[in-house]
Amino acid sequence: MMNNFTKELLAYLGKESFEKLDTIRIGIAGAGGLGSNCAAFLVRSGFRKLKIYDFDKVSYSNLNRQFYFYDQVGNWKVEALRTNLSRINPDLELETFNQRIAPENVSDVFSDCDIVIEAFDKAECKKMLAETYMNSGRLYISASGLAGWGESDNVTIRKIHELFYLVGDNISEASAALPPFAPKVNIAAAKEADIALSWVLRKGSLSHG
Amino acid sequence: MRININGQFVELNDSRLSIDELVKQKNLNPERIVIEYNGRILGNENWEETLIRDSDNIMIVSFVGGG
Repeated sequence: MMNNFTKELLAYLGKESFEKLDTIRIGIAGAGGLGSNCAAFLVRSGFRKLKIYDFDKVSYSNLNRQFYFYDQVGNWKVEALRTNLSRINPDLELETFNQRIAPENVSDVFSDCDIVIEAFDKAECKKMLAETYMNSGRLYISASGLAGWGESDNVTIRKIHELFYLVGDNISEASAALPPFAPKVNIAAAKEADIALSWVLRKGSLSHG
Repeated sequence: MRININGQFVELNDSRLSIDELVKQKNLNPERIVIEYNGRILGNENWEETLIRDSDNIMIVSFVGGG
């Protein structure tokens, strides 16, 4: 479905690249600092099929880094994100799930996705998702270490193997002493999105089991 | 025996060292790391019974919170 936004994207990318982005489905685990911003970057880049999980509501303390607005506080994150993403591209194929990803459902949640992006807060959840998807034949992109401010060049991309990329400095754990702030969180989210974008445009589709 | 951990060759003196013991030796948090053992993901439940052998290839990916 073409609208004025996608028409301009087509002009930027050309037919072949545009169609590659149009067919890929991306799963995003978490709609917080990483997930909400990464989703926005992906939608702006031309990805149309997204599947996003988050169990939380927007709070005022999220606004320092998450892609939500003052008048959305109290709303479910997945619903607020749907609103915001649809304001970029009104014709998304967006599936949102207001639920936790847990050991009971982790292998099912992104089974129909070509790319899985980890955007969790807890390290234990990052481990759980990595174990399920890092060797699944899908492109798997994770993030670890993005809190604080300064030394943002340390938010790097580590290629763990051909289909597994890890973004972050792997040290800066978010805490009360070192809270996450918009610039570095967005750098990490943007790198996650850029890995997806460049991988699709350079390699095209993949087959996975 | 000589093994590879995260791309680096390491000499180990212990002849009967499990993955579980390696994790403890390295002071890693078992709930925040993923272990790939000779190309396959090794879940925590298998760490104790998996004994490290010569030429093993081990990748350890660790995570910190935030996102």
